[in-house]
This record gives sequence, C-alpha cells and structure tokens, in this order.
Amino acid sequence: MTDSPLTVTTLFHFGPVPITTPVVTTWGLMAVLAIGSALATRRLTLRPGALQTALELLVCGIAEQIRAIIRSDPTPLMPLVGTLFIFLATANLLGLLPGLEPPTAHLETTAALAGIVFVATHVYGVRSLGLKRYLAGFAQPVWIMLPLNIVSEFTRSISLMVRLFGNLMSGVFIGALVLSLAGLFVPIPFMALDILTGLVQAYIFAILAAVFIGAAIGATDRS
Amino acid sequence: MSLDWWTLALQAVNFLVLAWLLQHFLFLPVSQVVAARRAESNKLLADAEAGRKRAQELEGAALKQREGFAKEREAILGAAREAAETEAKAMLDHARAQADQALAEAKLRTTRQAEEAARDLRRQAARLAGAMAGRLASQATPPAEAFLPRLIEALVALPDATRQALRSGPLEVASAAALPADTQATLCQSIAEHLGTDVALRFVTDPSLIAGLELRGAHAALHGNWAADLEALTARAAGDDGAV
Repeated sequence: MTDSPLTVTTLFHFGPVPITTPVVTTWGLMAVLAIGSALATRRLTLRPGALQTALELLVCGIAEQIRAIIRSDPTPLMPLVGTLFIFLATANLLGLLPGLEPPTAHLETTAALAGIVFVATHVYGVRSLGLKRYLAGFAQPVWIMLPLNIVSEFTRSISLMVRLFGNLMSGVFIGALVLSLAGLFVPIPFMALDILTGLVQAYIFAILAAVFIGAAIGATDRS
Repeated sequence: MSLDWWTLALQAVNFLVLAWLLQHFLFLPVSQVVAARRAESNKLLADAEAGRKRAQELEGAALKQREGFAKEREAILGAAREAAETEAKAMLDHARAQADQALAEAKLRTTRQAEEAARDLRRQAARLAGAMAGRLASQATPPAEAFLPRLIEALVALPDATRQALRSGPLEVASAAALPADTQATLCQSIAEHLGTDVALRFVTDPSLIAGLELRGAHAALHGNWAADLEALTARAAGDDGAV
C-alpha cells in the first residue's frame, strides 16, 4: 500500500454511488461471517463438539464482558457489541492476507462504526432513562459541566474513530513500507504485531462502545 | 483530508446488515442452545435435588423404622430376659426345694443311722456288760436261800389264773448248784404256803442260772436268779429308751 491512506480506491459505480475497495472487502467479509455462522450453527446440540464449543465460548465471553460493564442482561447489546468485536477482529486481520487491506484502515469505515456507536448510545440512553432524564444527565454533577459533557460526547466518538483508524492504518502502512524495503521475511514480526494490534483494537472498540452505552443507560459513571 | 460519504454510508449499512445477520445466524442460535443446556442442567439439578430430598425422606423413614426395630428388639429382649429370669428363679426355687428335701432326708437318714449305730453300740455294750457281770458273779455266788424271798414275791404277784395253773401241774425248782435237803424243805414249805396247796417239787441243777432259783411250771416260770436278772438288764440296756 503506497497510496495515501486517506484516500479510497473506487472499483466501480452503482448508479451515482461509487463502490470503493473497503466496501467490497466488507461485503466479502460479511458473506464469509454470515455463511460461516449459518453453517456452524446448523446443527447445534446440547452435547457440543469442538466448533460449537468455540462458538459458545466466543458468544458467552462477549456476553459476560457486556454483563460485567452494564451489570444487567447483555442480550439487548449483543447484536451491536458482539458484531463490533467480531467484525473488527476479522477485518483488522485481513491485512495479513495477500492483496487485501483492512476496511478499518480507512477512515470511512471507522467513522461509520463510531457514528453507529454514537447514535446507539443516545438511543439506548433515551430508551432506558427517558428523554428528559437522559438530557438532564448532561448537567451532572453540576450544570456548569453541561458544555463539557456535550463536547465530550463528540470527542470520545471521534477518538474512538481515530484510535482504530490510526492503529490499523499505521500498521498497514508500516508493513507495506517494510515489505517494499526489506524483502520477504522481514515484515513477519510486524505482521505478528499487527495481529496483536488488531485484536486489541477490536476489543478496545467493542468494550468502549459497551462502556459508552452503559454510561448512557445509567449503569456506569458517565465520566 | 476528505471523507467519502458514500463509502461511510455504505459501511454503516453494511455493519447494520452484518449485525442483523450475526444476530440471526450466530448470537441467537448459540444463546438458545446455551439457554437450553442451562435449562437442562437446571432440570438435572432440580431432579437431583428432588432425588436427594426423596433419599433424605427415605433415609428418615428408614431411621424411624430402625428405631422402631430397636424398640421392638428391646421389648422382645426385655420380655425374654424377664421370662428367663422367672424361669431361672423357678428352677432355682425348685432346685433349692429339692436340695432342702434331699438335705432333710440325708439328715434324717444320718440321724437314723446314728441312732441305729448307737443302739448297736448299746447292745454290744450291754452284752459285753452282761457277759462281764455273769463272769464276775459266777466267781462269788450267794446261797440259793437268799433268792427265796424274790421267788415268793414273784409268786404272790402272779395273777390267780396263772397261780391256779401252777397248782395243777408238776413244778420244777432249778438252782445253779445242788440244794441241801433243809433248803429244799424250806422251799417246799414256802411254795405250798403261798400256792395254798401241797405240790410235788422236783429239784434240778442248772449252772446257767449263775446264782438263785427258778420255779418252772407247765405254762409259766418264775425267775429269781442272776441269769434272769442279767438277761433283763441286758435287754433293758439294749432298749431304745437308753436306760441301762
């Protein structure tokens, strides 16, 4: 990857809509995850095999992490937070495959995810506390904190977006540079580091999303 | 820095679609099977708890039954012990009564044997005393006339019928040694006087009399001699009254 990381490559147009590389890559990833999930969960039994045990471990692990944060039933947040973690964990590792680059290495993808978290946070907060009480929470603990709380709502979403984008983009960019400069086996340590970075960033993004929503519904401290 | 808003919008839609797909194909089925397994585990636990309670109830019932058995056993043992004690006491009483009876019989037998032995001893002693007295008396015998008063006294003491029988038959006067003629005359006179008639007397000598006289009729005899006295004394000494 030698192009600017801030630009996306348009592969084709669908009417007026340009279809870029991150979008196509995401479609492929979505297909793999959806078909893989459908195949893996076709024959679930009460006596699980190795694959079912791994799936249960993944799903129950995510649910327990959410429960530990919001201190209530994690089922309503599972589609959002669980999908965030699984999508980011797989998308962040796509850079390890030849010819592919992570869609999360482009700002549009992370911005979309951060925007979804931003909207979901306020939707869950209003649904849980009611509009008036939820809005009144921005003036807590004292009314003078109102502007700061409003600004923080945006800045933390932006930080969520930029953190993921920066880590992934830099990893991919450094890997491409090292590969172009030093040959075949030198980028391997950087690729291993990319695996760790990708999984950690996926975990951080999903956990922060759960924390933001937990704070919005009053389960955790807003600060 | 510029953002491709179409890409941003498509990625947001993509994520929402993926969330729906994963919810439908992954989260929901896995959560359902986990919930089903948890329900089955809870059911197994509930069944196990019910089984445990049932086992505890059965154990309690068994304990109560065992306590009942223990009480019944104690009652049976108590009754058996009481019956055995009663039986043993009865047997002991019976044995004691038998022993007392045997002891009494043995004492009686011993007493009788002792008395018999004492009587035998007295008899032997009397015979020995009579033999010793007879041997001594034979060495110093008084004259026959000395026994005449005893003979006359016995004659007087006889009943009339006996005395009449003596009158009718022949009489014999025995003495340990031959009597002189005057003594024979005195005897004839005294006897006739007390019988009231004259009778023929025949005089015989009988050393076994030791000393003294004996008047012998057809149906009676009057003793006035030491042999008769010793015999009487010996008989008395051998008697059961103990008098010698």
